Amino acid sequence: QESIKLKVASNYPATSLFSRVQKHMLDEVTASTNGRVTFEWYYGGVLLKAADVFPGVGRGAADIAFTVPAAFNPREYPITGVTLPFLTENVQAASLAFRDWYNTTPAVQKEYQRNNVRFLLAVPASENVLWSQKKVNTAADLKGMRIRMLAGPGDALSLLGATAVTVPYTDAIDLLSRGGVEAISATPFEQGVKDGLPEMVNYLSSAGRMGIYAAVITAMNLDRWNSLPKDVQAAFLKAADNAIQYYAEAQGKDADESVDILLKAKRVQVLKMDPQEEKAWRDKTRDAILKKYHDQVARTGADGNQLVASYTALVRKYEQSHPYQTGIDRYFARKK
Amino acid sequence: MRQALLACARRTNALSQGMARLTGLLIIVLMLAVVADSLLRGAANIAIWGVLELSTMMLLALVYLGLPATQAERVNFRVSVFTDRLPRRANLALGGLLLLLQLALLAILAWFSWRSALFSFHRQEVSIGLVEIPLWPHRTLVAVGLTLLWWQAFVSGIELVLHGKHPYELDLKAEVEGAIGRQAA
Amino acid sequence: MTAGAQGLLMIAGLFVLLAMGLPIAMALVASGVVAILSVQGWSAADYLLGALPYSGAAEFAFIVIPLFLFMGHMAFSAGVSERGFRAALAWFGHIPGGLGIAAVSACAAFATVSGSSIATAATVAKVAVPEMLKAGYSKRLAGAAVATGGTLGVLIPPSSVMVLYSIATETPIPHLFMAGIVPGILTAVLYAVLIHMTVRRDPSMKELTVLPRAPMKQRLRLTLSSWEIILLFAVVMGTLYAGLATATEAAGYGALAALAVALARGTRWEEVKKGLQVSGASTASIFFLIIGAGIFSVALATTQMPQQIATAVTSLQLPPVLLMILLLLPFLVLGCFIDAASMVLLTMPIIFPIVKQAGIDPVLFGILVVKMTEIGNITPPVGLNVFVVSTTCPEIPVREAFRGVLPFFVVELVVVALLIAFPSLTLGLVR
Ligand code: NA
Ligand code: NA
Repeated sequence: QESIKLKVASNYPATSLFSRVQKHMLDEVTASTNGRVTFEWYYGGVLLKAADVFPGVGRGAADIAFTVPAAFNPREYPITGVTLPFLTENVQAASLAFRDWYNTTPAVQKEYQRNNVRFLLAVPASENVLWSQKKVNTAADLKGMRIRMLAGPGDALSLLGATAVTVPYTDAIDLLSRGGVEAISATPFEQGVKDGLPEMVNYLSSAGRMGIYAAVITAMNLDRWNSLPKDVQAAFLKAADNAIQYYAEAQGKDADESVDILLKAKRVQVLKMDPQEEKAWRDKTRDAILKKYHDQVARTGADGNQLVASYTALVRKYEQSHPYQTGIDRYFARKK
Repeated sequence: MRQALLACARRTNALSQGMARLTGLLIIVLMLAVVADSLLRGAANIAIWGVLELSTMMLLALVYLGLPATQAERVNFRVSVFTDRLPRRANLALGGLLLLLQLALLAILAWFSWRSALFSFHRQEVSIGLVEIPLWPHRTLVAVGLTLLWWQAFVSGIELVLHGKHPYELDLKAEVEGAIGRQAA
Repeated sequence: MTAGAQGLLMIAGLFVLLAMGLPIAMALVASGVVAILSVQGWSAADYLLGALPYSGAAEFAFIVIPLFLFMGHMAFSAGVSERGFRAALAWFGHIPGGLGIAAVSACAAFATVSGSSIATAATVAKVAVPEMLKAGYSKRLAGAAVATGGTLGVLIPPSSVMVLYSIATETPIPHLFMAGIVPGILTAVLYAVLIHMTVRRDPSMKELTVLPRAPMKQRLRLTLSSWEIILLFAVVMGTLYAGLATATEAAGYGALAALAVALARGTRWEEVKKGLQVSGASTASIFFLIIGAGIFSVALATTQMPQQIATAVTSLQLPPVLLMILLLLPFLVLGCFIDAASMVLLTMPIIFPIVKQAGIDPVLFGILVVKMTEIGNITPPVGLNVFVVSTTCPEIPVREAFRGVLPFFVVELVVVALLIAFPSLTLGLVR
């Protein structure tokens, strides 16, 4: 049997949790095919920059892509942007739901086919939080606040009255220390902790429990996928299924480690938000966010409301069987 | 024929240099855009949409519309320790050989860049961020710049054949005659 | 063909093209394009080679290059630099190498507001090199002092390369910035010592350049007359530290302030226009190199040669310090051809897992990597800082500057050795 070598490209660094999940999954493919399928890794945008990862793999510059196409290629992957704020916090449920949603929804499959890739795995980034210099308890506190934001949390915070600052994340950290921005949003809980934000800001809040706002998607060039023997395809799909569980465990471990750091941090104070207020944030922004998704998806002729409904139903189903605790909830649970 | 070719070469050189001069002025626009954006954000909490994307586009214009002039004026950095010792004719022949290689590779690069611009247009590629700005003009700028650089290199070939002018060696006389470049300021 | 052979062939090809006198940027493009076409095939190369010329330049942070180049031009044509150096001369002129030390101090000061090594070299070159040459310094020393001093731009925070390292390895940026301060000062001091000793050992240069001690009154008067330099630093640093501007945006304020000073000093619009055009032309030729290095580095990565070297190194089971030295060595070779940013992006995915596994401190390793990539900026044949100094000051031929760099290169290796031997130099402020 001929051996198969596949090139994997991403903008994520090798050390990131997302990359570790991919490594775990593809190592399993190598093992289960007795070394017949091997991989060549290109992390950190070495081969393809963030916005080039999915288009590049679709056109054969590499074989496997993993990044957030809904963020970097919004026009090509509008439907994939279904991981909207305020929908769920549960990473494992979101991941399982996305898989089933792909398998059962022709419109989603068409989106990937149109871009000449085969979907394999969705790894949702953990929940959005808000790192701020000023206390944020209510929406009124956001008025005029300069916040680094993008994607779904950006839409929500703009609607609530904050001023959008769209500088790159690293510039934002730099600006934060000097007051150029007053808060940073649109970064997963553990990421901010890792980047040293607990020593740079005064407050950390759940920002109304916006939850998951982006999903890292793994996909393979479609021609490449079709050329693979059936047993190899099956090995990929099985490894992708197992990766969901692996990610849930690894993410939980990362969250716990982040909580360790947070418990020791001297500067930051973690805020407990009033559930009434959380609901108010959600109610004030929900329609506009749904409308935006609906309009984006409408270009492809699909029905956004129906897509959100079917995805949400699947998420709710898996939330029952797979409990999840956010980083901030873990923090308060251990602080007592 | 010879006269027509030389006139064409002169016009190409003038075009390349004019383009570089014009895009140089963009630095002032770039400066004002960046300052205005940061001032409004800091003083009035207002964010100007698209400054990032437009600044990047101006940078691309500076680079790619400025490239042909670097070839026209032969100011690209090179190692000349070895070739300086060759007889003049051999040096020119070697320059011609390298120019052929450059023309072939630039043609490939320009071709791929045009395809990339076209692909960007077809898939409606937009910038990342809260505002979606189409990126095909950015990619087209790169393709145009590389094509013009190819044409300028081709003109260097004409100058080599008809005038015996080296395609890469810095021509001090041309520089003194008012070319933009290193002796200024 | 094995990956190692492909990689070596690529490097050999580059050398041949360089020796034949093809412009360096084009030689990088040529060997990169040929390697990608032959290793990847036409259809994979299609997207890669179409995207690279765009993504290599379309980076917002890169706008500091034209902006700082323009700032330097305006500061120069307003006579700001000249007055500044008159003042520096009054203070340091009686010490052998005093003006060179002043130039390095200017680099260090400018580094606190600029994250870029190229911009630091360009700005200070415009200001310092003509003065040094006028005072009687050799082209070699004047060019090399500023080209090397420019590397402080990246070592002293803020720093573009540290940001890239942080992204590639998930090391906190504030830690890296803090860690860069002491090594930066140490480097500057050792440069100053080297310049001092070089001038002292050269009787003719010493005689020409060592001035009588200026009276205190004259020192103060000249210092006051150079207030515009302080104003420019204050504008860039002030907007940065007040949180008004990012490190990138501060370059815009600096350029605007320099333009205002120039106009106030009676510089005519024609001169401004010329400054813009010259900065634009330099931008194009510098970016041609950056883009070429980007294509070359992707091509090298696809040959898998760097990855295989990393695997070989890991299998050696060395003690951490030895491993660290071994991991830093490739940067000396890569640095000859590739720019700092591409080097970090290319090597970290391969090297960093080994670093972590061996228990080497990621912050210390980061500073050492920054140091090594900056050495690459002054080594031939592709030494961006040297090119920039030579473009800004055409009196300095590239070849002369590269010769002058050699003793500085030795000092750099000494600094690296000190940082490895005494980790607390780097980590003292972080903990
Ligand atoms: Na700096
Ligand atoms: Na070098």
